[in-house]
Amino acid sequence: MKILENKKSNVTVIELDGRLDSSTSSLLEEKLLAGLGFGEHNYIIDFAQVDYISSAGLRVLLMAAKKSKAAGGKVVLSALVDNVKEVFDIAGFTSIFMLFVSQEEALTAF
Amino acid sequence: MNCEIKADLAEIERLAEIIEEYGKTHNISPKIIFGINLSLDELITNTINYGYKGDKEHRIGVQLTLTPEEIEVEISDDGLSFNPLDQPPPDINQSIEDRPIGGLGIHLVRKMMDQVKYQRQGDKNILTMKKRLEVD
Repeated sequence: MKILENKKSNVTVIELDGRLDSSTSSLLEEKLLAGLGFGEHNYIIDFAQVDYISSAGLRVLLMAAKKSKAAGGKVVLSALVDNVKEVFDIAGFTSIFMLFVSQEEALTAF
Repeated sequence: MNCEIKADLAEIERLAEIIEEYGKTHNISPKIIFGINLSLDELITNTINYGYKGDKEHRIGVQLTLTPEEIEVEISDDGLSFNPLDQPPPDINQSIEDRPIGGLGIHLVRKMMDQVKYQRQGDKNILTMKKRLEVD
């Protein structure tokens, strides 16, 4: 799992590359917890290069969504491939996360 | 197909590659293979994280059986006796604030597979899953 981070005004864009599972989700968790700790509460997490997510990945996303919402921010997601989208559907996450087709569109959420 | 992995989270990705190869060889749709890999990941991760006492090395067996109609996947481990299917299903309609963190793994397995069964045989947990193959 590679994680690339960049800032667009008040939004932190996190691009993931690889599998988001029980052995890699802690990397994302550390990244998000560090950002939230610095007072960054708006996130776009881009899934264009993620072909696999398990409940360990969902757990980290829900944790980040709760913390950012409590601080007045939000976490939105972009570019989910079909298999990943299906996992979100089954978990009921498509009703709690805003999903966008691209990073550019996701920026309109802020 | 029979294989064995070490009870180590790093083995799950290697297992996924073996299953993907198997899927290609037997012409099984990538969507079904994705569901099988996700189910294996969820169940094996649970076993590795919660199924063992002490530092002894353990191994987990995975067996795939293909018929014209379905694929059967069996996982066997020598961990503590545990039926993951006893867990109640999560309420997936709750708001961000109310949703508990965790508890989604078994829910994903039940939804991805057509049938999931647990048995305790001697000192082993045996989890058997079935998935119907798509008929063109």
